[in-house]
Amino acid sequence: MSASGISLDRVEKTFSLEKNNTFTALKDVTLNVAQGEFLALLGPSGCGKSTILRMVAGLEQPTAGELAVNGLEPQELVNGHRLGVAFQDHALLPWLTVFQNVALPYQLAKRPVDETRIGELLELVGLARFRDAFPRQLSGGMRQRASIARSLVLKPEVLLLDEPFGALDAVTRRKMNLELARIWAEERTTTVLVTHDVEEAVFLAQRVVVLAANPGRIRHEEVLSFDTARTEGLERTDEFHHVVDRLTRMLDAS
Amino acid sequence: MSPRKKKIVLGILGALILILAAEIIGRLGLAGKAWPAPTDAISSVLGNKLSRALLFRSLGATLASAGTGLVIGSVVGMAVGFLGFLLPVLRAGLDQTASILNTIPLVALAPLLIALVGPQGMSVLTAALGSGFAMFVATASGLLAVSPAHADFFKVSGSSRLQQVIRLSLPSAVPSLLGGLTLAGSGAVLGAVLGEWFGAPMGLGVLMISSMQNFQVKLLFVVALTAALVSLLAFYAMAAIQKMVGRRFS
Repeated sequence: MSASGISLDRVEKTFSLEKNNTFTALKDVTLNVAQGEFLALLGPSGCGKSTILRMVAGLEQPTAGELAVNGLEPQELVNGHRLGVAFQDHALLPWLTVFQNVALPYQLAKRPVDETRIGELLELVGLARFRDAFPRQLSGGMRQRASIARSLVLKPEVLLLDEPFGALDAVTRRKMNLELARIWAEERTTTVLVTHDVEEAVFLAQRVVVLAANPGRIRHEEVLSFDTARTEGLERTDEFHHVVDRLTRMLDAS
Repeated sequence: MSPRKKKIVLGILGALILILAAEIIGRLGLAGKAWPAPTDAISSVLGNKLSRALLFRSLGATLASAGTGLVIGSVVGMAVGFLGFLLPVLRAGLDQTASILNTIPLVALAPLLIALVGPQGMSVLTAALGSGFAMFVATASGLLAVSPAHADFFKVSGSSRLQQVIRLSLPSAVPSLLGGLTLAGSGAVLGAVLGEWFGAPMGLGVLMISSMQNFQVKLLFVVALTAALVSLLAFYAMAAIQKMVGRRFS
């Protein structure tokens, strides 16, 4: 097992239902994410992709198998404040301003708030003018950008994105993806993105893992190496469409 | 007309119809001498210097008891609610004790309470009971009203239990606490008036009893009206606070 990156070794997750019934959410999942890699977990709803993310974040425990993040138990990474997570529901605190929300990880880690870093990040996600606004005053896309800024503020070793743009409309979502690609190009954090959107996965990730449902398992892995940079225009290349088509057919078949 | 405006207009219209009906019944003497016409009652009580002074003095006494009781009840109710949150072992027991205490009719509890605090202390105590239960329920449920996404965020951020309580559970409880305060405010006024029936020296409740025993129907009517108005006012004042502060927390 490698000491850096994320490794799942024959991980299984079952949930117990009523009357001794169990539901197998994930079966025999072996997966490695290298340090500095951007991996997308793609699959239909109910395939356990969010469960994988929750296990890597230490929110769920695997029923069987080994799971390590940079050679550590997820909880150890969490306790060291070395993990960043952006949730589908932005999970910003409504009583704090954008700045205070992004500063919160420093306070939870009992570290001095680095105002310069927060300022730079807010600049990076295009919210510099809204640092004193409350989340309810922002649009859905802006809230998600604030949430991503919050997940990045402590320079985490691992970044987990759980369908962060799932609730946005298609146009905003494309814009967000462009921005995320730009942000990631600057930060180069080991990243796992969970999504059911094929284009989003292909656009952002270096590698896409396609999952199948019932029980959740790995169906296919696709290494993406586009010549073009991950900027506007990539979605219009033939190569991009080709990959998206193939992965979409695979999702439809599962 | 917006739905909100329509609601307000309909509400005022309804109140006017009720007052008009009461006025007609009183003027025609349909319900006998015990039913004065509202305008007549109000003008005769407020027009008389002595009875007007008596009314305002009583109102002041009741408000003082209600305010004191509201503060005591809120502090105790919130403290007990918080205790149940910190020590889940106690939660079920506290819930049940509070519910039982709240369900026992005050009349049944009164002799015990009078023995405890004396007749003078009753109005503050009943006001505290009236508001304390609302605040206890609001605190107990509010502290548990943390959204799952927020709880997840605090967990993956490596926060301590203390940080979760202070930075997440307490602010998350604010909307519920403000909702409880709207009930506690009017509950304290009603509790104070009721408590004054058990031998307080002064207050709206005392005035009710004395005017009833002396068949001062007009005074009784005005006192009851004042108590209702003050209770309503307490409700709307708290609701205004809720609107102002609560927006930020939900």
